[in-house]
Amino acid sequence: MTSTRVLVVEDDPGLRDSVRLLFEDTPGFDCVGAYANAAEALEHLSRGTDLVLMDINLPGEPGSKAVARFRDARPDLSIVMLTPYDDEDRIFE
Amino acid sequence: MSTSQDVRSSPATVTFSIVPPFWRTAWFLPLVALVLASVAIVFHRARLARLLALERVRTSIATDLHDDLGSTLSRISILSELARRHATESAHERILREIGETSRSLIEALGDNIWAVNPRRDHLQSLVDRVCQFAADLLEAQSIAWRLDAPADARAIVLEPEVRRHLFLILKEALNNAAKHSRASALTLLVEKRGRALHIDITDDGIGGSVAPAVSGSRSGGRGFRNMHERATRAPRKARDRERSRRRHARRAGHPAVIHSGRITNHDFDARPCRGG
Repeated sequence: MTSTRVLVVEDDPGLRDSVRLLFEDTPGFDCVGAYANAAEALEHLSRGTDLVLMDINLPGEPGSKAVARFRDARPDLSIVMLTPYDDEDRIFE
Repeated sequence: MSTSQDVRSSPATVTFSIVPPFWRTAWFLPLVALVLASVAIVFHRARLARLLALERVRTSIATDLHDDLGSTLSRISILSELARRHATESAHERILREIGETSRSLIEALGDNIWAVNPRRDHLQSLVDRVCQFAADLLEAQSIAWRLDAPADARAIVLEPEVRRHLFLILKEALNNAAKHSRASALTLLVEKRGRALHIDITDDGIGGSVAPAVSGSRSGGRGFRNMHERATRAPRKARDRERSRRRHARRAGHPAVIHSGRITNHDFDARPCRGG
């Protein structure tokens, strides 16, 4: 079975490591990298990456802009954004 | 002594003016008006500054709670799940499961508190959205069809943070009760304006029950009903609950349904639906 290759972008180091460990320990998923910001993650974005799991609040740039940069680099990439907010304006942006 | 010659002289004249009291001078009233206007402006600005400062504090609390506590609790939850997967003894597995469940419930409570203090959420629509989200997660997992009717202009109806928080927790408790105990197959939540009051009614077609003993402190009643009653009486702006039970023919089983309602003043609206199940 082919694993889903996940790239994690999360600025909190503890949470980032935990999410990476969770993917490494879950059958069907493979964590190909965990980075603190979108710029660093874009540098390491490979063609084999299937999914980006990213925090909506990232240092340096808003999550919405980071998504646009990921889309420019890889239009076929699936992106899941994490947010605890129920802020429709921010989510739909 | 002669009186033949009268001595006449011009009358003495004294010219004087009466100075009016200061409160009757021409400048007094304009001056008082100016001072009062200045005082009013100063108070208004001070009040505005306090409100802005309060809003900044609330935003800051919401952000800090999310950034610090939220990420730490999420980490505990993930690590306990990982440890549970590799636990060799059932006792360890049980403890780790409890740690995971506790941290997840704390994350949920934290989310509620962040939502409650967020100044951008001070309207009825936000409460309705959050209740819809909660109802969808809770009721659809148990195959309970549900519907929520709320006013179309709910975003324009301001709810103070404390009222909003209490109402949400009351509704959560009521929905939890319905999901756990009612054995219902359908539930309706109606938010509507009656006069100057906001009424929220939850009706299900389950087995029903009485809230009166619980509210009056009877041991036979659940703690949930007492919590709802206390929250409703603690909420400001004369918010109050009117929990009651009444017999109603259920759509399928012919059992009484339990109705819970909350009331709060000064709102206007008409209905907007949201449903699931």
